[in-house]
Amino acid sequence: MPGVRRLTARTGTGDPVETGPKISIAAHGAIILGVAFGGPIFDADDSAAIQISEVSIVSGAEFASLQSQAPRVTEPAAAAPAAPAAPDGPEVPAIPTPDTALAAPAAPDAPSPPELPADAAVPEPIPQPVIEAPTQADTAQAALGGAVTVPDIPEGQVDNPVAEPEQLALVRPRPRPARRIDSTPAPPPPEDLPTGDTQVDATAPDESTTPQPDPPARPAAPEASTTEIVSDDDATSAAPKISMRPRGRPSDITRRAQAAREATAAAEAAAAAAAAETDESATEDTRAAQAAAIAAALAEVDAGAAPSAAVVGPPLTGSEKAGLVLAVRECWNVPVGVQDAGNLRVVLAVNMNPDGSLNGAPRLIEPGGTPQGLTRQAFEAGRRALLRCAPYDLPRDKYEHWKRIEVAFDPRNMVLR
Amino acid sequence: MTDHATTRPRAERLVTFLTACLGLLTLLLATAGPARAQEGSPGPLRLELTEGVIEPLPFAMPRFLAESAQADTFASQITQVVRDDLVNSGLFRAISPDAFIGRVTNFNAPVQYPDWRAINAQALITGAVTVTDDGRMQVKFRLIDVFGQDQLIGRQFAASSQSWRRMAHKVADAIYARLTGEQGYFDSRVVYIAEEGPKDARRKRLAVMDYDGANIRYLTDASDLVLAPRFSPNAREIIYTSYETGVPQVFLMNIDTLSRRLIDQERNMSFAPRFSPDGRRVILSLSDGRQSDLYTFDIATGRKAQVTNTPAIETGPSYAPDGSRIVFESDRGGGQQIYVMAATGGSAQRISKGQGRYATPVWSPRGDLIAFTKILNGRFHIGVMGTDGSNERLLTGSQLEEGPTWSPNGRVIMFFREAPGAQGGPSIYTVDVTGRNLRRLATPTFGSDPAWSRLLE
Repeated sequence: MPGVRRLTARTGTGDPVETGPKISIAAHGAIILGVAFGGPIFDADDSAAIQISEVSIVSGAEFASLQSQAPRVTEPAAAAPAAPAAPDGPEVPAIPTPDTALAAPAAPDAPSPPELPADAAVPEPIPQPVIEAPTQADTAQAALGGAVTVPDIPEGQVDNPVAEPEQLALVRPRPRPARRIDSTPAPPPPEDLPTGDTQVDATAPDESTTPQPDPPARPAAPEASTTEIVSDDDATSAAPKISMRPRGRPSDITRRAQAAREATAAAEAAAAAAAAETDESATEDTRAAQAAAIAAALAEVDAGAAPSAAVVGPPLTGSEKAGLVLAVRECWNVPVGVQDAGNLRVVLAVNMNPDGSLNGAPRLIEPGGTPQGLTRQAFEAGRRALLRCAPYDLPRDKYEHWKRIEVAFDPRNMVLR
Repeated sequence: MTDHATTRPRAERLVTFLTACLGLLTLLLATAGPARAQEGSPGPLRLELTEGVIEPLPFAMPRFLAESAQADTFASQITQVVRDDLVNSGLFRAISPDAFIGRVTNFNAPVQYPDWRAINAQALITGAVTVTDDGRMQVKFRLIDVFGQDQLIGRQFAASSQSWRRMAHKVADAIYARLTGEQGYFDSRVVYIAEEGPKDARRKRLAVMDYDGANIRYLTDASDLVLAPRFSPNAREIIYTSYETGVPQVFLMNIDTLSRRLIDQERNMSFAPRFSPDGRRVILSLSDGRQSDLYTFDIATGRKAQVTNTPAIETGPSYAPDGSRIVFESDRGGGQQIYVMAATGGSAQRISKGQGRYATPVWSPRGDLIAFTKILNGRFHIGVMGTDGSNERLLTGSQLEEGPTWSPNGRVIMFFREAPGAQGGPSIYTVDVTGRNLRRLATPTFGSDPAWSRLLE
């Protein structure tokens, strides 16, 4: 019978009958093996995972530490870039591994900040909280203290808001110019003397009667600072204990501070020698000598306030440049319609202050020589543009890259032919 | 199954690890690389500006000081005229005196720059007027670059107080020239046809006025039809076409004495005259009824010379500033077109290449452009093109307008536009050569056919 035969055939043939158990055995064996060896495998796996995560955690920590360092690197305009620059050159010649890379910026970074305050003994007066907000007072103090080895600006003075601005006006980082708001209304001119027919001289219009520019605020200040400094000379110990790294400090500040200290010491020595003779005149001499020393130090800071050229951050990004171009463009009134306006390309150079304001007037560098004719107007239009739109919002930590700017004004595309 | 489950996270973690390493490496290179590459002093930051803004330059001009009792009214008037001149040019914008923070009480007082910077005045103009008892007037002014903190120019003019207006224009010219680098055009005159009455009985008179429409003086009465007056280079004489003999003929008139004489003693039909740049010759069209050709007449000797000789109508000649070439309109090619040729004659070259008809070409005093009237699809346009016909630009357009004339500096074009309707009439307009700043000149009557003089001496 086919049905029985088939049945017997199915059961009779040994192979199909044994397949089930075989599979079962194999599966169970696999499970047993899995249980037996799975532990180590999982363990190994886990350990491997832990290892990896350890690495990632470690690198994350490094990363965090790097990031925690980062603000210090970028924030102070001058000193920060110094860190990578000095050690990087020798230490990282080949493509560095992550570990060393992380270590590299951190290591040099650490020593540099303490170095400055320790040597300069300057920044004591700057209280930490003040740093960010009141840019004027804060930066000015930093520069003043750093430069002159002024032991401190006495608290009384700092508190006094009236006395402060005048002193600040002379030190290097000038306060940003006031916005163009008529916050200080001009004093109404006195209904003055009748425009005297007899008094007013006939004008020689051009040179002779050129209006005098505003008297610069500069000369007044050194005296004020001198008296303060002298009177508080002994009060060094009263300086705040918490010190903070000054911002925007030139990197060779220690040398300057040293020089300034020496100058002051010399002045004091001279004053002491003079004191042997007369008491009264000695005080005067001391003051004069110290004033001279301070003035010299101030001048030095003034001259070299810009960070040393050896220390440079990354260049400006495209968008930062584009932002600057846009800013100037807004103020550039193109002299269209002028004959040959298409050829009126001029290049102006201007030096910048770290706060984005112009340091001096823009100069014509192309075409050379004294500007004549339409070139003069093109130059003046460019100069107006640069002056009107200042100050510019530029990344402070890249100051080295924009402390001198050359702008080419080319109206070719704006001109109707 | 379990193997799969375990190996995949492993692989993923490995990938994660490698990615992290790669990221760190990239970060390292990104931070360390440039820093090292930038060691040493970088050069100056170079920027290239090819676009700016085109806007009127804002200036502050406090009322000029009156330095004597009689000067008070003059000071106000002169201030107003100078301000209007500058503003009308379209290149400057006056800041309202209400916005001023600072005050000028003494012409020689130092400038308080912050006060003027605060209101964004880019130029400051101060001035003073003195009138002496004998009627002499002295006007002095300074132009100051507020942002550059620099006096750009300071000058004084003296004349009879009757010509206070001209002195004001001269002040404005000096300021304009110093700020733009181009000669000014304010101290100039315009001769034109003053028209009155209804359209079918229009009375036309020759009139002279300041460029801004002030000081109008009529040179003829309305008894004869007059057309197309033109100034001589020294602005003391005019030539114009009159129908007083029944046919159009060109006359020369001294505008001070009003004496006049016929140019062509042979009494042909003559029209469309214009002076040569040296003022010694007149070029015009002479017609025998069939054709009209261009001729020159020596004013001193009356000697006549033929310039063109074709069966076509040739008219509207105008000299190049150097006198070497002329531009004129002709229908020798079929339509009304513009041609250029040597001033002494020879072969002419057609320069108008676009569609439509071209008429009334005028060579710019700068020499670089030719202004014209273009008639296209029934509309009239004032346009300019290069002297070779290149870069044609239409500046304005309306139902009917024509007759361009150049300002002394070649920066502005004056023309007239006819208003439609029974009550409508022609008015004089100015437009900048860039096509900006279209303005209607305020004249007491209708006005047409203006011709601008050179700068007065």
